[in-house]
Amino acid sequence: MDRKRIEWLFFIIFLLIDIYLGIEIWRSPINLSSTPGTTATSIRAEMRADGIDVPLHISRKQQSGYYLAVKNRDYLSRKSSSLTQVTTHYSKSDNSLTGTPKSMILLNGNRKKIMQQLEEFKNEPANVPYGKEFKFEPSMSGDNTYCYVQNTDYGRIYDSDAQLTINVRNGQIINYTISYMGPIKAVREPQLIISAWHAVKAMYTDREIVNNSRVMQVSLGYSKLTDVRGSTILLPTWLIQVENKTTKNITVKRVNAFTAQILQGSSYNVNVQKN
Amino acid sequence: MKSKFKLGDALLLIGTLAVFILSIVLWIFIMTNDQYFHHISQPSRVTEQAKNRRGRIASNLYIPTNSYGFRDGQLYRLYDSKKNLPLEFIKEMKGVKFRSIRKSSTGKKEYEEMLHDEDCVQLSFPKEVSVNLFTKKKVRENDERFRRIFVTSSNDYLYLGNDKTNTIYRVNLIKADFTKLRDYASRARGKIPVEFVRLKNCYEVFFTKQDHWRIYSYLTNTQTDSYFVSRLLGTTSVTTRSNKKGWTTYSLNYYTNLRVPKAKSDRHDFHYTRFEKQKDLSLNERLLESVDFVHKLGLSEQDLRYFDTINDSMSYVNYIEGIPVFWDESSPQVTTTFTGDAVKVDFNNTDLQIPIPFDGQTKTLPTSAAVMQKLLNAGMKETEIQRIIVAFRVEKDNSHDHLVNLIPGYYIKAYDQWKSLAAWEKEDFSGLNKYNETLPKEGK
Repeated sequence: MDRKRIEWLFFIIFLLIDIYLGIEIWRSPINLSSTPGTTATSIRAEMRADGIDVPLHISRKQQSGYYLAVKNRDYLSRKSSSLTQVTTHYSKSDNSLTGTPKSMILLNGNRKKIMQQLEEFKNEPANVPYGKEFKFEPSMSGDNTYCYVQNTDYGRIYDSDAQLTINVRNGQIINYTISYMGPIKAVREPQLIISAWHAVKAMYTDREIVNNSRVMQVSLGYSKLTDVRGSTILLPTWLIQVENKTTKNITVKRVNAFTAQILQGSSYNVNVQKN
Repeated sequence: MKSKFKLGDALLLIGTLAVFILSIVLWIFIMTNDQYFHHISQPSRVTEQAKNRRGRIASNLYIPTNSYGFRDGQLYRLYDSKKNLPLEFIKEMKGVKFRSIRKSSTGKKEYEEMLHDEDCVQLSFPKEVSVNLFTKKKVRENDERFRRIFVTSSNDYLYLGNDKTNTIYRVNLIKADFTKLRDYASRARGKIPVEFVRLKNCYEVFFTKQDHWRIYSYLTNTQTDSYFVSRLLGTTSVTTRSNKKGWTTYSLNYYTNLRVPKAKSDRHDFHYTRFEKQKDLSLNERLLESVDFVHKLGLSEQDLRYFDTINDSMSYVNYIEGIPVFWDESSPQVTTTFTGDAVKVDFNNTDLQIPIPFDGQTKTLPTSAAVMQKLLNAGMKETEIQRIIVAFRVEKDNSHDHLVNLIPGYYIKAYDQWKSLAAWEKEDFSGLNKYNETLPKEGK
């Protein structure tokens, strides 16, 4: 009787082992290689199915980008004395300078003309320090706020520390606030960066684009990465403007153009869009 | 009644024996028959990958790493912090069509004349790559190898050069325009005087002046075991985990495993093995196949470049300002090895992530000729010296977490091994030379 029990026990154990090994053989090995390319077109289809519109002309061409660095210094406070046509207030906490014109500056004409007058105002060194280094950024501007970002030989910087905002009310320049990073240098030679389409794709696969939305604009700019050894390091980022079709809210998200990773905590909302 | 009982016993015995034998058969089948797995996985994998590979190659791995040009009869290694010349070349090659490729010459004299053609901008790979890889099309049946690109003053053609065989190929082009590249090359700010010196199988760039080489710094990023386990083995199918002699091994289905050093150790070398029957691959196929594995690791590919092939192993290192970076003593970032029945990927789990502005630190290095003399004095045979290069060694900077310094120094490839000058100087060459003489002669 004991022998029979042992035999049954062996039978069951080895039967289980056979089943396990059979399953192991049946299961195919995992495919080591991912196949992103074959899914390129299907990603577009998937996005369409999710109600996400993407511009047709979005570039698939790789460009090059730099790691940039800037020395952390206060460039604005010492400029106050040369700003003879505005009264200034320097904020040490956020390293920004606010200027209010001493005399009334009226803006008139159509938008193009207004832009031209604002350009002249900011380019005048007695009004705005380093004004010539700033370029108009429509995606960050509103009806009464005209936003400019610091422009460099390498591209535009999208950061609150490199921004000029001119406030206008009733056709008159009220004041402006400027923050300035300083002269920018490349830390290393340029490297290949991902294409605009790759950045959009990365955002979609990371579920950073909600359903029923529209990718409005994809542009390349530099964003702050980290501070180290008294310098701020910047890296190229794709800025992707996405509009929610229902709420009409526009959000700008950033994708690291070297690694295709989303820069967390760097997105911001655009309340009013005006081109 | 009694006989029934016996029949039942017999059936049970037969059944037990059957399941026992079956388990042994299945076990042997799993452990020995790679062909089974090969059969399941290979065809679909190859076809699925075929379309994607080319795009991924463009993603950095196989591009030239250095550029050279002449001014007033002197050859210089060109460098410009604002313009990455090899990258410019790759950009200008996009959209270019290849009309034809033909062998132009095979003589040493012609090859050396081409090397010293003052009208050409030269771009070089650290090791030969295949013509089909360069053209991204199967334009040559034999898929010849080359290491050097000669951009001439004409936009209609360029030359490819193979140092080892002294062969020059003329490539006729359509829609090429290298005006920008020539312009950038002529205005490149950094110019280090160099000369070409013939070593065992290539023309090596010798630095002719003792110079101050910059020490660069980087913030590093180290990925955890789980990151690589999920990328290489998947998230749900990892069935075994064992600890032996400071290593942790993650296994999947008997034929795939990842061996990593224990977290507390200071080591960063990871080893992935996948047992799979390999078919004979051409250089082009092997380079392409290798890309999939490198890409799958998920390491930063921004500075990663193809570096060398030794026997069945292809290595990739980070290139910073045209200089390769070695981990530990002389380890590349990634090495892929294709043997008859397995693919092995050895890699370092730490990435150079964020470059830190140059702080003025430099290191003085002697000329390449002086280094060569030191090696000869130490007992190394001149005929065994394969490469003499300047490379960076990664050194931890204790002033900041995750901060490393890249220290320049000479690295030498000899006897099919990469080692630093200091390491070679400690080597016992008498044994090494004797051992090497016993090996069958092979043009490596």
